[in-house]
Amino acid sequence: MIAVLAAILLASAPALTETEQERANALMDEIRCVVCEGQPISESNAGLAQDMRVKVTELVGEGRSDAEVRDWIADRYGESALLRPRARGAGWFLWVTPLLLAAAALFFVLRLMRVDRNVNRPDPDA
Amino acid sequence: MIAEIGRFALSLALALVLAQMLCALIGTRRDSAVWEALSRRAAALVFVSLAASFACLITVFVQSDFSVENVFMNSHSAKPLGYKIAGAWGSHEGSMVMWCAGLAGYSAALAHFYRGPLATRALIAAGGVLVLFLVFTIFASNPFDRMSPVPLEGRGLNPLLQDPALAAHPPLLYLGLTGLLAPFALSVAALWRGRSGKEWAQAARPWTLAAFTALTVGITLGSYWAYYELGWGGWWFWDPVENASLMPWLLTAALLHSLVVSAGRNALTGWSLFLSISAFSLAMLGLFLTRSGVLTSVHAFALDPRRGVLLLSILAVAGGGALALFALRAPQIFKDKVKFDPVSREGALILNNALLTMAAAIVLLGTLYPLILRTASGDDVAVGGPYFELTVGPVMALALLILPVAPFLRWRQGGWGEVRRRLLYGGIGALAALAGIILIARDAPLGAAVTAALAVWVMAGALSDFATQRRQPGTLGRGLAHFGVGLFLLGAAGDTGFSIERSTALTRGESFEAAGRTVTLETVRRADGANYLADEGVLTVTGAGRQFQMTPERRYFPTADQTTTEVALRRSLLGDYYVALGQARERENGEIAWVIRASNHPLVWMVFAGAFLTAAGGLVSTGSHVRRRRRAS
Repeated sequence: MIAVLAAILLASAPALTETEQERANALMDEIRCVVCEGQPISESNAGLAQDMRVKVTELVGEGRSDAEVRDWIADRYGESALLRPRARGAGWFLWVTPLLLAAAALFFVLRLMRVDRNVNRPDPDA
Repeated sequence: MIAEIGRFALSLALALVLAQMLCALIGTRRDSAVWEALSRRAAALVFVSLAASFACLITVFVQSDFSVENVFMNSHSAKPLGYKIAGAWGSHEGSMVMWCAGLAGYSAALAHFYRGPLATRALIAAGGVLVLFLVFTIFASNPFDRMSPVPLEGRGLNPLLQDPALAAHPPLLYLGLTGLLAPFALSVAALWRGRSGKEWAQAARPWTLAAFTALTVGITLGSYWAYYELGWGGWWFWDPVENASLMPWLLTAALLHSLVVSAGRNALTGWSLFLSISAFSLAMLGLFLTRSGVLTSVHAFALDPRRGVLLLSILAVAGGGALALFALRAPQIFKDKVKFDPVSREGALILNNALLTMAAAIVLLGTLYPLILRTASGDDVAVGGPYFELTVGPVMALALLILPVAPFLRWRQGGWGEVRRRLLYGGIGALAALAGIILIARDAPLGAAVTAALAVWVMAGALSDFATQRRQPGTLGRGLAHFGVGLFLLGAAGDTGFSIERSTALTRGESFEAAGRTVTLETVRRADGANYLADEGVLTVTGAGRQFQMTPERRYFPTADQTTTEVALRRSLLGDYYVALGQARERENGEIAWVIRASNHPLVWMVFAGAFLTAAGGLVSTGSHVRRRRRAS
């Protein structure tokens, strides 16, 4: 949303089509300004954030995919420049664990539910 | 002198807690009402002693007694009185005294409201936790330490914290977090006694509801502060410090629903015990995360690794000990063999618990994993909003899908009949909202459309619940809380999906277009306050058939050498118009231009109003439980 500000600040970057701009904006929300504290580059006034916004716009303008842009950023600025970590290296754990948690939750819920379905007899507590 | 009284009161409290535990232990062993009464009396005195200590701390802050190091570090004589008082809990040391006073308050309240073997054992457990935190406060984090030579002036409170919402945020948050001590202590007592069931669940319910209420208000105040103080117009950043309070909130929400099953149906008791222990453990983990300096974020102000290790040890002893007790004793208590159909209220509440707990676990993973990884291997990985939205989002969406259904399901027995009758229009409305937003506002993100549809679904469910079942006890609180959740979702959908922000540098007389309005910078003037220098931008905003003036400020606090933004807000039922004054820049031709950031925040008031409504629901439910209890006894 805020990344529109980038478009105003960008003098050197190529002009993007509307869909490219949307992609670039979404990416800018996911890339961390590495000199700030936990702010995405779309929300930072820092000089480096502005440079990174220009770079993202350039890469999108060259026709790179989202994954390629993320890889490019992670290679230059480190894994911690991505607020949405990649599912590789140390990051895979972050994506696999929620799935395992979901499986575990499903298992326990099903086990609790597996009581006999024929319960339409008088309630002993009532 | 007052500082010495405060310091003495801390030590006195420690001695009294030990007496409280000893008397309760003797009372339990000998089954003696006299010893139990002594223990209750001691618990009350512990609270009086800690409240006095906290009052002494506030007094030295009000007096600006800079011979006390903590006052020197966190206060300034030119500060308004309100923020001098708030300085008392603005630091690590002061907040620990407040934390201990909160724990003691709940322990004394437990002693006041309950008698009998369960309550007496709970006083031992609560006392044990309090001993750990008091020893920590007295020996590693004492706010009453004097310094010499006495400085003439203090360093001042972080100017970002000098704000009414944020001054009230820590006390309410702590009131909620420390409130989780009550269900925790009762759980330990129930496990120790080896008997559980209805009595325990009924005792734990009002405390859980009260803690939930305070926690909700505390988090919302912090969120509202972030919205207007940080200058970005965001109200949730998935910052580790925010997550530290969200995790116990999620588990408390799960707990108060599982307690409905435990207290009403004598089922899920083991699970409720586990949640009680986990919720307070996560509250202690939050204290460790925010007060140890292990995080470096806007919120983490205290930096001292030694204390971090000590806080982690307390967490390990208290939380780990309780969990070990649970593992040892739970199999004895887990015997309840309940029978119910999957399509029943029990079934819905079990799903609610599975989903809320899962959400809390993912937040825990995303918050701790980067820290653990950095410590263990030195690798850096960042986990931010996009990760949580993608993982926690769908889990919460599922939970919200079930939410309106549960009140219309019957206990034990299956059947969709009532659900179909009462939620038909709500369902149609939700689908219509989804289709309408996708068709009309094509630019809107899918997440916002889904959130809006869920909002309609949840609010319709709450209204229907209220309209059809209002004669049943407890429905008012439930209806309010659930309606608040729906209102919150509608605000969240509006603000995250339809907010537009523009920013540019303007000099006097220039204007620009932002979010459907024209913003003109008339002038920038000085507007200094008691302890800061400020630039105030005077902006004329026209558009949508209206014209009004907005005056955002940029404040510089010389004592802290820090600049803050004071945004200007124009509120309406449809949303806020939000402008912030940024840095001044010199253009090539020598003109000074100020960065102006303007945005709209559609329906954003619903985010906060909804959360407060949910808290109000919690308060109503707490009240009805206390009244029912009083009638019973």
